[in-house]
Amino acid sequence: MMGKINGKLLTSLLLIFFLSPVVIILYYFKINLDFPIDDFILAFKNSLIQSLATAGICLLGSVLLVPGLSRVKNKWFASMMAASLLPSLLPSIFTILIIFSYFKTFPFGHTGIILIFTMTYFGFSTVALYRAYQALVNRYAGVIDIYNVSWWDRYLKIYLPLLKQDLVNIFLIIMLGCFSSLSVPLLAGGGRGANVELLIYESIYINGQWATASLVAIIQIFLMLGLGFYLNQNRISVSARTPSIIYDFKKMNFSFIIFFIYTATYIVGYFFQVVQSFFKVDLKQLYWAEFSQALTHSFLLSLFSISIFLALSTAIIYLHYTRTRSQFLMYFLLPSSTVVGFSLYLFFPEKSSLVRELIKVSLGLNLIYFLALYKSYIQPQFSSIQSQMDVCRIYGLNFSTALRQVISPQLKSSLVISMQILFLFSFCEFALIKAAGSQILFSGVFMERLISTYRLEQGFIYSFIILCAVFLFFRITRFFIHESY
Amino acid sequence: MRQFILYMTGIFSILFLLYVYREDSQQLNDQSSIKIYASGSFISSWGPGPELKTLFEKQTGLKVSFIEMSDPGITLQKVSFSAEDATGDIVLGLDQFDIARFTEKVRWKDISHLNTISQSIFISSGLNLNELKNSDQFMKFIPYDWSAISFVKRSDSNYQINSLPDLLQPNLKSKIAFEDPRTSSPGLQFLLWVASTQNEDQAIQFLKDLNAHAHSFSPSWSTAYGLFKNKNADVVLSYITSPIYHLVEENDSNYQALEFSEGLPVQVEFMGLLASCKNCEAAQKFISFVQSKDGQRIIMNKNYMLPMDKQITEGTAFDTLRVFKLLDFKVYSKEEINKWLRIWSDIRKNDG
Repeated sequence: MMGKINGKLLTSLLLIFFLSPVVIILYYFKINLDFPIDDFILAFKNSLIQSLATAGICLLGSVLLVPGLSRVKNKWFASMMAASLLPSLLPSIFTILIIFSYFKTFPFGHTGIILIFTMTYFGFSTVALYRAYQALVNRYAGVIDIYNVSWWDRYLKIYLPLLKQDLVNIFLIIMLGCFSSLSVPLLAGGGRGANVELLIYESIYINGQWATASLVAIIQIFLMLGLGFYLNQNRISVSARTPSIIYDFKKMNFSFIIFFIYTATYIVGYFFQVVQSFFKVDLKQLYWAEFSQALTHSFLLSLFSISIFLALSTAIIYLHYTRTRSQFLMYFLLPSSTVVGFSLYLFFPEKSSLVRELIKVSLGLNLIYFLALYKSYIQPQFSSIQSQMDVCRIYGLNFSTALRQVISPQLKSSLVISMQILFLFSFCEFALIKAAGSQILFSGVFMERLISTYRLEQGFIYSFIILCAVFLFFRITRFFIHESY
Repeated sequence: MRQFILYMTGIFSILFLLYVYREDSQQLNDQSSIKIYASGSFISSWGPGPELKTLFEKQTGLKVSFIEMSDPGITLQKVSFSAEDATGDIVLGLDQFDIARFTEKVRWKDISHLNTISQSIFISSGLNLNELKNSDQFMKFIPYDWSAISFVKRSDSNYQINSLPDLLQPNLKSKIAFEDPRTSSPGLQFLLWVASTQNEDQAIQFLKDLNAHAHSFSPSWSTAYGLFKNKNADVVLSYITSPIYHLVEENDSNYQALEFSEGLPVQVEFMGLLASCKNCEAAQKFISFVQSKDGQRIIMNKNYMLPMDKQITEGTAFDTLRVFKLLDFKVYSKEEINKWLRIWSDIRKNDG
């Protein structure tokens, strides 16, 4: 009983945490009932078309590629997987410039937006699905081999239905990313660029209507919540909807080639810009002192963010452990970095110390990214751990012992990957940090400052140095934790 | 995993100790310093902020600390809530549109008596700020730099653009990178440039034609300029001072700002003193310092904007800038700005 009460209390606290940005803004601003409903319908329709199409294309592509990719035995494959995440991590201006450079006439409109979004998220969706798939294969391979099920059958009839939850999660995360983007729809969309984030932006910056912006954000949250429940409630027969493609996985790995082309398209474009920048910029002109300060702050931010991430993860694992109904929390995805950032700016005092600034921004990072990371990397593991947790509970094992001895060892890899991604976000994020009015220079903001003052080439150079530093850090942490992946 | 947890615990123990023993207040809590809201690019090491601070502190013995302002809209909103508790004294980097939006919302001190740059000096720059002089709103704000907005092209391109209708030439189809007026100040300048030089029906038709003709409407100046630098677009809406940046910093003279027969709109940056200022007297000294020859020179060289006093440009790369025909500086009301933004929004939604 005690556990249940604590569980409910914890669920309520988490709910308050995830909804706090809109609550703070609605506290400060009166709700304007003159709500632009026509504009919202148009914006929501555009956002929905772009995000559904992008999420659908990315997922379909990933579903087709993942079985082939899982058979790749190449020492560079892990690096390629990591490189494929770059489009979703680096500033969108880089992706825009890279894609534009491949086109003589760029297809503006929905097509252009979906193209840029697909380029941005396809790597993420493939990597996330690949990981979930690998976990399933490791679990069921023995049984399936005994029954001698063919490759294609085992994928369509066994693995894909089991991956349904992961597919829904990835789908929602991509939708969230598309919903929260302002620059891509505005640049590549023409009239179709009027999306929900633009409506929020217009409400705030043109009309000064923060409450309207929050109301739009709340409606968006509940629509995402509804969609998440709908997708989970309606059992999708994945196998029936997957196009039947004759596919010989054992011969030439077509999946690998496609994925390689995708990754190379971005990486080649990116490196081309970096190399060009190195030639154009006099290295003596670089701002090393400021850059190293920004790197140090970003490193500290990553530690704070990871700590909050671990605390939130522990809380949600505890809810799983006590079997408290908390699944609905997973759908409170907050897409607007402007709303999240500004609410933190209002909540925290302007006179601030380094530590308070780090707490403020790391809370913001977790408000935006925690649920997405949790859904992508940790939640998929629960299907196998839940029964073990039930056994631990029935036998009276306390939570901390179960966490230490049973749960953590099995979640280790997922936690490390989530933390590494959060680490990278801490070095690349700037929109949230700026909206939060942070007085500390972080590396993402440093890059943005350069780009906004004619110094685009320097922005590319620094982004490259940041990526090198981050991957070096990944290698070091792997050494510390003896992690093989 | 255990080692990793130990490692994390160690780091956080150190941070916690630092937190306990450090002086929490930093400069922001220091009541003796002047606190100035300014943009990130202004206070970065390549911006004018650090040099202004050093010289002012040396000359007056007063301390200056900058508070980074991500966007004037966000910062001034927070200031309006904080009222008398607002941290900063001075706000730098306000354009005429920010002023239209925030004159009433935030309480400002009248600083017109500090305006040391006379009207004759404005005129020497080709600027007509009569409307500014006659506006009550602008008793509270002092201009400190400016630039006309125009289109910039590479000198080796053959486009002949002399007026706004020339932008619709067939050979410029999908060649010009604009900024969206809803999210970018130069973009808004362009929108009001079109609105002020044509009658309403003509302006709307022109904007509709342009909507189908442009390369793109970027969310920010930096994205539009990135497309131009990347050669995705041949012409970009920017500042007349942009070629000076390439000349000075990159030794590249291949960029050219274009003259328009209608005259160019002018973007002026202002500073204002908050009514809630804590160090008002010292802040007024800083406002005067920004208008001094030293202050103006630093801003010109680091911000790549023109000084209010043209004499400052003598003997510099800015002196090589041709004399452009400029439109009179116009004070737009909030309602007027919103009306044109609504028109633009409808054009984009319906004809995009």
